[in-house]
Amino acid sequence: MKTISHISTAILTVILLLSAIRCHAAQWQGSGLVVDNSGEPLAGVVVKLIGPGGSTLAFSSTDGKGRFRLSTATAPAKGSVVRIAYLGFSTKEIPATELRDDMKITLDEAPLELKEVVVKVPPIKMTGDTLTYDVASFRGAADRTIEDVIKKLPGVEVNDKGTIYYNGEAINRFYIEGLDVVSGRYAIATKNISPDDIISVNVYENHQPKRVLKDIAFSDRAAINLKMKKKSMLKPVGHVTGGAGADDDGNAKWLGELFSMFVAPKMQVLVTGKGNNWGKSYTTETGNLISEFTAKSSAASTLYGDTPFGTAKIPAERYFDNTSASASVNTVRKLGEFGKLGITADYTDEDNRTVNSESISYNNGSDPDIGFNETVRSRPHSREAKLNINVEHNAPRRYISDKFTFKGHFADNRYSIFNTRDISQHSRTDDYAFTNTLDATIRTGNRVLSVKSDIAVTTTPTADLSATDAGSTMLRQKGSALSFTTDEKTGYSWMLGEYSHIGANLRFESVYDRFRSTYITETAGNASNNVSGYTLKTTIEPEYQFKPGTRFSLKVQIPVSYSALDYDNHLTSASYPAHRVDAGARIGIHGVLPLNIKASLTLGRQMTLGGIKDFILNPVYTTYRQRTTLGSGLLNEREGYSAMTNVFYKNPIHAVFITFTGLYRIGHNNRISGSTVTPGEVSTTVENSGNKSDMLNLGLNIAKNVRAWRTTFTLDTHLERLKRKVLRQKLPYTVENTSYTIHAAIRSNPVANVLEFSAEGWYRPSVQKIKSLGVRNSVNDMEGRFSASVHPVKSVELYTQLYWNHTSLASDVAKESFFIGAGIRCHIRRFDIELSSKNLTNCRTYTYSYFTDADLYTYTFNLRPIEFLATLKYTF
Amino acid sequence: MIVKTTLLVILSLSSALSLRAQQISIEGEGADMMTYPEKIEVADTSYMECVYMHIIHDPVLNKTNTQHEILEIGRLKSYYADYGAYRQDSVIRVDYPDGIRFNDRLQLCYRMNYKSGGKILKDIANNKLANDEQLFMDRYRYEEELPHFDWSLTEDTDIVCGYKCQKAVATFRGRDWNVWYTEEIPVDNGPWKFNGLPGLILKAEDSKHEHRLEAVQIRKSSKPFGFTAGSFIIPIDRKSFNKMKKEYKTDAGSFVNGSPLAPTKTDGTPAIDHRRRFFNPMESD
Repeated sequence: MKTISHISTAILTVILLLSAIRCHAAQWQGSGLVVDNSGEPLAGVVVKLIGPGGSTLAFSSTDGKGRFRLSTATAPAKGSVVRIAYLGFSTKEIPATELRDDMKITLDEAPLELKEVVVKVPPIKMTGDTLTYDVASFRGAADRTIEDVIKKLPGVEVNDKGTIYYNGEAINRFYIEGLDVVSGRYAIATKNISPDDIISVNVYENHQPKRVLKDIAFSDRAAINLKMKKKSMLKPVGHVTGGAGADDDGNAKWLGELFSMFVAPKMQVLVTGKGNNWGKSYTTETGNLISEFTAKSSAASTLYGDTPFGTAKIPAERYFDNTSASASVNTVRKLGEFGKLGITADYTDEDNRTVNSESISYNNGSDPDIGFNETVRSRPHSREAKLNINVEHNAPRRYISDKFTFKGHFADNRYSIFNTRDISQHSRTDDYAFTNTLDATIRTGNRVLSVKSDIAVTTTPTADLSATDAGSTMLRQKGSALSFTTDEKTGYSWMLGEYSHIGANLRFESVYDRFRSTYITETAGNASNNVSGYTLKTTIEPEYQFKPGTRFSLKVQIPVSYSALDYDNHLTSASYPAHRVDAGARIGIHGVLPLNIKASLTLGRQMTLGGIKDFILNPVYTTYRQRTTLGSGLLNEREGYSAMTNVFYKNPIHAVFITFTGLYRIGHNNRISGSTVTPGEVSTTVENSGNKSDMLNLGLNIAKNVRAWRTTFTLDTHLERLKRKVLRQKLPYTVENTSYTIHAAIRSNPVANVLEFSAEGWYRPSVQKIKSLGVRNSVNDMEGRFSASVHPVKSVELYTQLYWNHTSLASDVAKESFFIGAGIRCHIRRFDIELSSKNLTNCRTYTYSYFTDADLYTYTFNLRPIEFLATLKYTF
Repeated sequence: MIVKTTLLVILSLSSALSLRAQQISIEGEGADMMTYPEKIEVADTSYMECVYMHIIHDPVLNKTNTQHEILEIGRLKSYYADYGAYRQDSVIRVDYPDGIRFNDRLQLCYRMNYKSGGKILKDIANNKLANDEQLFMDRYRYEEELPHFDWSLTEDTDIVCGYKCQKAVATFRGRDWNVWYTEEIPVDNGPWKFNGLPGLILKAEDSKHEHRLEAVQIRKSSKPFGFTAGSFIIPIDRKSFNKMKKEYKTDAGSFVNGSPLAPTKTDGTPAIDHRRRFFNPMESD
């Protein structure tokens, strides 16, 4: 037994010894000493063992004494080398087999070579609540204005009017270098400023324009700031353009534009002067795009539309023969550290001509359809002048602002209508609106006191309409209106501890309105209105806010209001007094969910009362064949319950932005609007009857920028469902509209500054149902837009724009249109020479149809012919 | 030294230093006091510099900040610090050799986006690392062995700042790091405490995407570097410092409570609140 034990021990010992020998044979180690020419050891030298295939088998670096040690689990294959490299010294390689322990390796000094300095700016940078988009990372050589670049920024949307949306909400301020020079009319900046002058676009999330309310009042809107390049500041920059051309009908085309901007740290001036008959309208440039600056109107301000005989879905520049002119001056000057004085003034003149035919088929239930077929030659001509003066002191503890605005709008529209008769219609509206807003907020410690006073006077001394049939008077109507409103608000709030905030707002609103009209017709007799009266409304609104940090906030507001109204009909001496007490509610919750998703939920109940229009009981004409009775003698009361949500995810590092919005609203109205159609006239009225409506809106927007492809992808889907009652021939019908929109867009610059393109597609199916009539109409609308730009050489650009639309109705009526535009631009130093063309297919008519309720409308517009324009632009 | 300390305290605590603040200043006679470029304890002279963009996300505040940092590399040592401070020092040395008013310097700090973060001196020759950082009014310094990263090389590549990079991964003090280094610059160094790869590290990102560093500029240089000279530096060990920094960043009000230097409002109440500051440490062991 003992012998067996000895044998076993001996075998085990032999096995262990063999194993050790084998292990020793497999492991490889090498070491060395790296020195420079003078024999000084080099620290931090990179030493690598590289296999015959080029793979790294082991690596190390030298210590302070220049020593290194390499080891691998297996001996390196034949052909392996040890590479010794150090910046500023020439690299040395020795076969691994030649490396002896503590071998001294000398590196020779060599020129220190680094690649040309590379400065990289991140395309999207985030600092706190500020997103900074680097303009150079997103712009392409074909981008003419900063708006073209803003459209490409993931997370930012720009609509056709120029309104900028971030996180699904329209922005609440637009700044250039931190100053608001354009006072809400920011398209004048975005549609003119060159991307050459802008280094970055900042988005200020949750922007609170009043510093005094920072960290107190939550804002769900963002602001945009343009950061100028240093080279473009302290000197005038801009461009002047002149052009001439012709169209296929032999008409001359012209364009002249001047844009200049001067930006200094304490002062900014922006000037435009423009004119053209090339199809460009300037009203979008000078129009206000921020909702809180919207001007007031009187009961007659918008009685007559500019295009009462139809508009087309395609841009007006395709069917309006225009003569447009515009001039504007915008200045802002800093007053001290926190103050500013801003003055803006503009004038726009739009004189348009168009010809279209309309065919309307009204569904009257069991009655046979009644329709209108006519051809209309329209000449809407509107002029508008605006002045805005704003003095502001926006300090961390005190905000005081006074804003005065004047707006004069003058519309003089003429129409020639050809059906079975030869009718001329002329409408004229002169409208003046004066507004003054004084706003003050003072913060003392944890207490905030605010006072706001809005005073507005809108007068419409002329709102006239006349129509003749083959020279003899059919209709002569005169109208006028005056509106005087005051809105005084004061609020006081204070902090309750660290997280809670409590306060109350007191609001007093007064409205005085007057409306007069009288018409004489050839066949339908005469009628007049002379109504005036007032509304006084007092609202007390307690509010509470709980904000325990930055990830959650709750705000509750309970407005309780008392309204006293009295409107008098001076023709009948009837008086309509009314008193209402109402309590509303608004609850807002904002939170940050996991994955940094920002979410908000707003629940509310609102009651809205009508006004003077409810007591205008005699009809007024809006066109020669459309009569409307605005009121029924009963105060309109609209009660609404709404739930709104917004969920927002953004990842600026990977340039992904996702927004979901939802709105559900139930409304109760104490009246229904309806229409009665006869062979010669459409008469709209309102009837006293309960009307329940419900509306659902859902939207999802996903944007992703793939930097490596220089491409931004956007997918936008939308659902809208609306259910309400209408009257037709005195009978009530429930109308249900459901529409979907799927919009996909790609904006790409795949071959840097050589090829750029954008492709967008919309698919918009919609269904309208009136169950009681057995009506179900569906419309499928598809639209595609494509634009491409090629730079065969850097200074030359060839571009094209394609537009395609296909609309099909349930009745198998399908309309299709296709337009092509193209041009060439040559850039030589500060000059741009451009030849552009529109409507290359020379398509001369455009037809489209749609349903409203159960009525079918079909319009055909004469289009501008193929046309060319050669321009010379000088940029300074 | 007291000037710099005051500057750093104002910059790190002032609520006036909001993102869009146009002005930052102090009132009183100190506003016009002349200040001068800081003296440094020269550790080595750089032969190259690399500027990194550092994006930090704080999941508690749900905020993301971007700052720039610079690695100055010498033959024996390297220095890693805020790039705003580097730029500010350069401007003062060149444009204000005779001194600069305190308030003007404050403005300069704001314009240069000065951050009062830690400074790291790697002593390659002696395999040491020193971290120097100010918390409130005091300056602390800890030393440790040059950290060892257990890198695994991968086949993934990327181009960073024009250099072809290879990816390596390692777990270090509570975070999983993906880094990209370039063998085109054979220097064993990188931002922050990173080292131990056969090339300069140009990009690093942790697996939670809370820290992302990426080189934006690489250039030659010849400039002495080192910690700012100071007579009163409190030695400390790494873990104690990290613990203290966390306490300071999460509740500065309590941290300075009781300090005779803690600023007060005119009514005598503490001027520093208990609000959590932007904070997300790179090491959390």
